[in-house]
Amino acid sequence: MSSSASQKLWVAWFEDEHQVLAAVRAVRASGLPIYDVFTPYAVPGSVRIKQLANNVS
Amino acid sequence: MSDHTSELRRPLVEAERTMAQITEEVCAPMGQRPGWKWWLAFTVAFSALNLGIYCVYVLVTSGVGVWGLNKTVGWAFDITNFVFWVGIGHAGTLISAILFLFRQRWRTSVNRSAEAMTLFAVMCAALFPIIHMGRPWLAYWFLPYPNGRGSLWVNFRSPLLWDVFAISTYFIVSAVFWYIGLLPDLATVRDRARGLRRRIFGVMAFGWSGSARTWSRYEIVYLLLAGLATPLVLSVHTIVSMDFATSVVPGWHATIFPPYFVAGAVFSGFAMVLTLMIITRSVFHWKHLITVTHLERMAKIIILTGSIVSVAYGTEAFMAWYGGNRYERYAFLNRAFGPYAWAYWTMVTCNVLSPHVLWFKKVRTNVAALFVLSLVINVGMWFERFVIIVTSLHRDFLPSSWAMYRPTFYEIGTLIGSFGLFFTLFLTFARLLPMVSIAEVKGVLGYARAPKPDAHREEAA
Repeated sequence: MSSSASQKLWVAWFEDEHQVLAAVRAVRASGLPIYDVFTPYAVPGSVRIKQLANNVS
Repeated sequence: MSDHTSELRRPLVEAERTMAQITEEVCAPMGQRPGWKWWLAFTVAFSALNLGIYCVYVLVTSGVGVWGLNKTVGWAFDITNFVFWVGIGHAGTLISAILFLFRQRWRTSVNRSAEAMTLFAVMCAALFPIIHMGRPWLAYWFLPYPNGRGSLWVNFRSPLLWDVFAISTYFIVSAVFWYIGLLPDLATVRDRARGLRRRIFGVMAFGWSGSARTWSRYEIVYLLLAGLATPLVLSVHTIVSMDFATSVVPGWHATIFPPYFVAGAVFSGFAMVLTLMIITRSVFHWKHLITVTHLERMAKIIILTGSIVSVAYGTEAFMAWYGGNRYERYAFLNRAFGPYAWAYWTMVTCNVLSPHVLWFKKVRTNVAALFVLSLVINVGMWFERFVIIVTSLHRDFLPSSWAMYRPTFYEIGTLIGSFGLFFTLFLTFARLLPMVSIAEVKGVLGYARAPKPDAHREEAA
């Protein structure tokens, strides 16, 4: 990601699962790619997160 | 608990804890030197295991004659122990699979230990048919594989063979289910560890990263395994019951056996989970993780399954009278008033009468009372199997062949040894792996609690 100066990597930290889901939806709506989403437990609907974060293969 | 969102629900983790604190607390027993209580328990359990090994050694070197069996009572203590341990093994997968499918989130604090209990109980159970063979080194003859033994081929019409398939399948699925559930926690331990320990847990965690992709696949696999394990909970003891029900022995030949055995297995399994969880929460100071609410819910399942068992006892007795078969009728009269009446009434007292005190909330929420009751139920369920097996066999169709059975030192020693094996494995598990599912408990930290809107700001400060 850092090979090109025009590319920036943003890392965000969220307190709870609702904020994660809301953030993933918002980032997706803005058209930005999501590199990955890490959680310490199975957030209900982690399948949904995977679908929203379309480039999480 | 002023922060409840609902008066109907209590939090599943009773104290205010952060995720880091949960990790610390659950991993603490793995990182510390064991205390004197653990060493005392381990010494007792390991001594019992050694007694069992000695008894099995004498059995193998001298023959089945060291047991109290005779020509009339060919199945007794050994098969009683087998059915008892298989039954104990039922609660783990029920908690893991069935409660998971029903979205019962209270299972999170107890499922890991219950699953481990299942595996250890099935190991103990498998021991008994093998040593009962007399030549345990030929145990692989159980398996249907191409061989040169001619007519010595397994009998596919026998439930004994299906027992081998059912129990081995149950063990494999339960072990896989347990291990899959452990993966996120193994990664947590890996991330905290250093050196060789980190490498070992790294290999065991299979490269777990906690990303959305891994969680998504984990959830799918876990759901599929839960679906696969659920019918096994019902099938294993159904097949064990058919070991008896497909015979023509009075007292065994009953169509009610499969549901009766399954309910009894869950009944005894939950009693054992209660015993272990009450000890665990006390020894590791996890009263906020394994709460009275957890214990109370398990007590409710015990009332339900205990009531099914009571109805089954009544139905059996009623059918013995109503069926009009004189041998069947005698078998039940003999159980209640014959030379083993003491065993029958012990069973009735422990399994039919004692669980009804759980209708009172005061008892269900009293930890000491639950502990005593869980032990009473397990004693009762052991006697249930003893009554079914021994009292049905010792007086059959021919009065000339009637006989009494008395266990010998070696049989009692083997039973004690099986408890030794069970607790040695459980205590070792307590030192090596997380006994509570860290990832799942983190997922229920917010259960029945109001969200903290300024939590992020507090953390930053």
